Amino acid sequence: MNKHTHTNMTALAALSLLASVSAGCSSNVGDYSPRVICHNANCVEPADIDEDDTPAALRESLELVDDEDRPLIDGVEIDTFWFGEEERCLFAHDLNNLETASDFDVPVNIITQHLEARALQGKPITRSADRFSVLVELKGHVGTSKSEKHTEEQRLEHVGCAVNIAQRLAASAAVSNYQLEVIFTSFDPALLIDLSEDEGFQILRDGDRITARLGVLAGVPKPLDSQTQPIDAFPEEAGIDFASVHPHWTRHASIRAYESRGWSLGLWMFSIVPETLDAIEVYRPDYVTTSEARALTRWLER
Amino acid sequence: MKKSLALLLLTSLLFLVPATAMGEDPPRPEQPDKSIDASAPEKKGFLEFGLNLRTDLGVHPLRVDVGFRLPKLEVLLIADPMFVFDKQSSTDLIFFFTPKKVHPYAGWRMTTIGLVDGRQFQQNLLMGVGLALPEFLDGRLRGQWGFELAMATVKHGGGLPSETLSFGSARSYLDLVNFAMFARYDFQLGVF
Repeated sequence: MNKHTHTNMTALAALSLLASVSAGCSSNVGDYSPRVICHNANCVEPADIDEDDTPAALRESLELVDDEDRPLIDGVEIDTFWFGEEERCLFAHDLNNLETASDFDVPVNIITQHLEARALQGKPITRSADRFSVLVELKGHVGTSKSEKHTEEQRLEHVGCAVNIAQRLAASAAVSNYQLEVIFTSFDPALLIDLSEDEGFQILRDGDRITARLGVLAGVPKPLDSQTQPIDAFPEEAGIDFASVHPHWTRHASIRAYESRGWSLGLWMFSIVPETLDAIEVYRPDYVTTSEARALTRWLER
Repeated sequence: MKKSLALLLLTSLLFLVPATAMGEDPPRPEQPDKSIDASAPEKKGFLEFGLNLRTDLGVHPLRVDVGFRLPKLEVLLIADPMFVFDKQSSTDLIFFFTPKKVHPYAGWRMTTIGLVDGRQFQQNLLMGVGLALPEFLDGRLRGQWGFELAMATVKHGGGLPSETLSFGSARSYLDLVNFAMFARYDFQLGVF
């Protein structure tokens, strides 16, 4: 190899490196704008997990608007927890604050009152001026430990509670004439399968009052956490069409596998850090579930 | 008065830190260095500059090292020219303790995130360990592989409320504590 050839190859290698680095960092989000979902009904900064799934945080989150009175969010995620010992359907992330946990009808009333009021005043109900999304998460355990799984009867009770939430939301949307989407999500395949077979869910899904969907959640993998299940644990016949994953903990191949099933993608996060923002740019999910709505929308609109 | 005192302290630090670090030379192989005149005094202080590379998404894949190295201490400033691509930057100040081939380190990273009407700052505590990689060009090109723990301790700025790291629940810190690896190669320029 002569010196001239060597110089050319070095220049070519340098250009290749520069091109690949530039391509890897092309981060202009342009017109891309995912639906911003309020994580655990609590996305007012500063993020405080003690306020997750509480009526006060839900009200404050729904009232987040920009200078033009446009909402900062496109929807909320509310957690439903079936408390096995008392056979109650709670609006709660877990049983750590049982004494203050609300029943499931509390968030439904807050959401419907808020949306009805804005619809009545002719104000936009979402950031994207589109349908409002409610992600109803069904927690996969019934006690303090994540190993306390539902019995078959408890699963059906929990599913019934979740469908009841959607039916009440749908009734409000029909009366006040606003667009609504309800996505039932869970880490637990059994709950999603039971939901898919529930008559109430099927009526909602097949009807035209609202959009009703099923979605898988994935986060910290085994053995660090027991909740996330492999993709093949969710059968095709369940009709799932959405996956919301945590980008730090979900492997690239798994995310591509969800997408290859034709499911739409969501990313969820606890905190906004460079890793989560880069994941949004790489995967361009349809939904982003965040605890920091103002920071996220200001980043998206930069 | 306060300015004079600060200047005095700073000047003292500038002299004390190198003096403390310039204790013993690190052990070196007994092979003679063919490229350097054996009669010339061995350099103990080096300026260094080079590239800092990584594949994780915590910082940009390519940043620039500027620093100085003494026999037992290396101080490195890592700048982020790739901020032009996405309005995000991560600037590190790191202190490596380098008595042998294993280099424990501590430092600070300031990350900035561009928002529509301002900039959020995230302050990260860095801890980790580096391992020496093979040297080239008679030791003038030195490499290091490193393992890093970064903790976003404070978020502030951008017109948003400040937030501090909490270990009260896994949900509070899971996204804010991250591990990563890096590799770097720097040219060394002996100065004294």
